[in-house]
Formats: sequence, structure tokens, C-alpha cells
Amino acid sequence: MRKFQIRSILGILLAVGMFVSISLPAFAATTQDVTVTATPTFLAIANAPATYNFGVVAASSTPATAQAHFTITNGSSVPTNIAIAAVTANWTGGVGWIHDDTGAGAAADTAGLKSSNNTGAYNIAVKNAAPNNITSNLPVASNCTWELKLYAPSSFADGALKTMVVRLTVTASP
Amino acid sequence: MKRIYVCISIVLLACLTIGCLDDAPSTVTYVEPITSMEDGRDGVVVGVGAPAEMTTFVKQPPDDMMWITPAKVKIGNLYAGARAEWTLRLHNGNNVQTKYAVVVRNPDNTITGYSKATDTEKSWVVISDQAPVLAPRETRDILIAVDVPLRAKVNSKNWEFWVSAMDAQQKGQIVTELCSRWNVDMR
Repeated sequence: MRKFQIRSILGILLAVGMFVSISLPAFAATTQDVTVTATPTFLAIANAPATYNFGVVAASSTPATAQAHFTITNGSSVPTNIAIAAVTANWTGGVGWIHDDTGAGAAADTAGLKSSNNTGAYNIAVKNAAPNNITSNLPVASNCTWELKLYAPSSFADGALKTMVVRLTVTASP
Repeated sequence: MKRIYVCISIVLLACLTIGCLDDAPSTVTYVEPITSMEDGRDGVVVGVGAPAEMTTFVKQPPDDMMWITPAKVKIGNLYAGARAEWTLRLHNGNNVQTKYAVVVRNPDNTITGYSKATDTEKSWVVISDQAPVLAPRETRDILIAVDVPLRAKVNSKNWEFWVSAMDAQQKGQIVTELCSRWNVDMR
């Protein structure tokens, strides 16, 4: 009888012990705290000039700014990426041009923009969706110069002034 | 008699289990924090996003440029029902009063291992002032909170959103935007 009691107790202890050891991590997780961490870094850029007028453009022409026409002054304390984007999917003014994310333009009322960072290659498409970086991992205290080229439509519905806003977005490099 | 032994065993093990739970290690780890504190509620950590004195910066932020800090924020161990807070410090480098737009937005790209925040996840982000008007050379803290509803369905374990700050009065066709990366690890 006594032997049976000891075996019963040992069996129960073993079963409950196994249950506790399996479930304990899950219970323990409920006592963990949310953590919020950040490093004392800051982002600061400024671009100049803030405007550019391509003037009167001919159909299918590709007027461009001079190389290094624009300067991004970088005051950030960490290496950064700077993305270049077309803010809207269409150009405004009269019959608005469709913005071509490939940068190629050259279709009826469809224009594109390409940029480069002081290479003169004009090989970075200025996209509305999923913007490209005009510079990646820009070192601290290094400025960036860049240029822009328009790929004009192959034909125009009107001669109204067209406008596109280009946005430069700075983030800390991943 | 047998029943008494069994009952005593269960009570002893229950006590042992509760004791273990109370002693469970808390994994609060602050990696290079600026300042942070717990506000007393379970699972809630309130951080102050920028130090009062700028001496902790290796490089001093420019007074005559718009800037934000911090550039990156990491929230760990977040779960449904929890709230995490941090402040974004915004500086007006203009010599005139300037209105800013501070919004949460989808990232153009993410750190490896993180997915872009869904609309639902972005809806959990609360910005205390989305259109602050700053006096010339003023620096202001804006509270950013990630408030996950109690019954929220967690889609992604690791997700990223950006907090964008822009001078809303920028003139010209080329505008600049400063974005702080926020990486969230769900429990």
C-alpha cells in the first residue's frame, strides 16, 4: 500500500513537473517588457536650387540640366541613402502628362525624368512608385551633386505649362 | 490517504510554479538608449527620443537646417495590447515660422528581415502633432506611439514604417523629406 502511494506521488510529480517545464517559457514571456531603443543620430539635408525650368521643349526632345546642377547639402550625423521620386503619377497643367516610371517618356503626353549623381549618365529613373536612390551610403559631412534630364512626350495635346514636383528623401542607411 | 498525498503534491507544485513565474527574467535590453523609462504598466515603455543636452552627439546638428532625430528607432517584443512610445525631435532651421507635416508612411525600402508595414499596422501608429508650426530655430519633440489593439491580428513578426517630416511650406519643384526608420519586432 505504502509502495503504491509513493509511486503515485512520484508519477504525479513527474507529470506535473514535465507540464511546468514545457509551459514555463510561454508563461514567462508574459512578464517580458516591450523595448524601445534608438541611437542619438540625426538627419539633415537641404537641396539647392529648388527649381528648374526646362523652357519650351520640342516633341521627343531630351533637355537636361548641366552636370552637378543641384547640390544636396548633407548635415546628417550618420551615413544616409537619398531617394529621388516623382511626387505624383501625372504632371499638372492643361492636359497633364502621364509620368513614365521607366524614365523613357517619348509617347503621346507621356514624359519621363532621369537623374544621376554627378556622373552625367542620367541613368537613374525618377519614379513615382518604388523610388530609386540617387546616392547610397552617403558619408557624413559629404555633400552630393546631381543632374536631371527630361524625356519629353512624342506629341502634346496642348501647350500649357507642365509641372512635376521631385522629392528627395533621406533615410539612415540600413 | 492517497488523495491527501495527491492534493498536497499538486498544491506544492502549484506554489512552485507561481514562484517560478514571479522570478521569470525580464528581458529589457536597451541598446545605446538615449533615455528611457518604464511607466509602471506591464509591457509599456516610454522613451524620450532625444536628449535634453546635445552633448551626446558626436557631431552637433546644424542650427540653420531642418533636422530630425533619431534616424532609427527599434521596438522589440511588442504584442497585441501593448503600447510603445518615443519622441521624434524636429528642428526648424528657417528664420521664419514654419509649418511641418509629420506623417507615417510606407517605407520605400526596408532593413533586411523586415516587411513594409501594412495599412493595418500603420493605423496603430499615433503621431501627437501631424502639422506642427515651429517658431524660427525652434526645436520640438513630437510623441510617436505604436498602440497595438488588444485583439489585433499580427500579420508580420518584423515590420518597418517610416515617420516622414517635411517642411510644408517648401517652394519650388524639388522638395526634401526626412524619414526616420522604425523597425518593429513583434513577440
